[in-house]
Amino acid sequence: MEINLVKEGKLVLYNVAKNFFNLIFLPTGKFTLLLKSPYLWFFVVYGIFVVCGIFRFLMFNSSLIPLLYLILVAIYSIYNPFGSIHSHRFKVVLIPFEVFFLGSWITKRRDIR
Amino acid sequence: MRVLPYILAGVLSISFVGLKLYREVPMGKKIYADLSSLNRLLETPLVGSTDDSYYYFISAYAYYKNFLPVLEMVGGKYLVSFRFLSSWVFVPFMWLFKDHFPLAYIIFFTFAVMLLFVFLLEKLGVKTQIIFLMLFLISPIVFYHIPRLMLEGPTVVLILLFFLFNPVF
Repeated sequence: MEINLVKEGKLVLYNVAKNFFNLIFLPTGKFTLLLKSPYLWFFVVYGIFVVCGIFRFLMFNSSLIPLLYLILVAIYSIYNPFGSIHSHRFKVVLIPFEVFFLGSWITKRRDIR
Repeated sequence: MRVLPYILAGVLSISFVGLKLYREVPMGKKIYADLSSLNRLLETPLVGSTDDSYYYFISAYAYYKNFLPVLEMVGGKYLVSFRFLSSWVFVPFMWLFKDHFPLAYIIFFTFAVMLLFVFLLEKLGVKTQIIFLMLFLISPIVFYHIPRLMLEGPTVVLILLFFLFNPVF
């Protein structure tokens, strides 16, 4: 079977990017299905808050923690570009980071690090 | 130190474990494991187990019996190399609680995760009402993932401890 590197490469990159965003916004691989449930909307709004928290950290504070978070997501996206039934388990590992971003954003105490 | 968020976290943890048992015990899953032999351990459907919990139990059982990932099989001793590094998290629970180790594991990590979340938020100086809100926010995820015989609980505990007690940051 012949493999078209450009075509397959595009597909892999597309899936890596899709996986990256799916892992940041909680309902992995499901929210692309038109977001019919209010439960999914809730987690997308939550994800937007988390992304705002990360950007706030990156803009105003040269902390390693948001970089560590994004590196973890990137590694997982590259490692498993076509998704998995277990990818939602990886999201659990990211929750402490997100609580940290949101918590320190709410209190405006970013000096704790 | 505020007490109310910790009480809420404790109550939520109890209800998570209780609901997990209420959901899975009528399905025929057992609370106690049989550690008399590896086959019996692997054949018993345990509360909170996932499809790959049992891969970890093989090495964990070897540590429990022989202090090394070595098992006696078909007349010889063999090194169990499958997931032999990460499976050690089950071993202290097997040594301390014997057949009750699944229940002890579930209860310990559910409480640890919830209480450490509160500890982190308190260290960040978040208001009590916001701590309540964030506890309810993470509750569905914690309820679904942490009371299971898998490595999510220990990993989250390690990351929370990294945020709470590291000298570098």
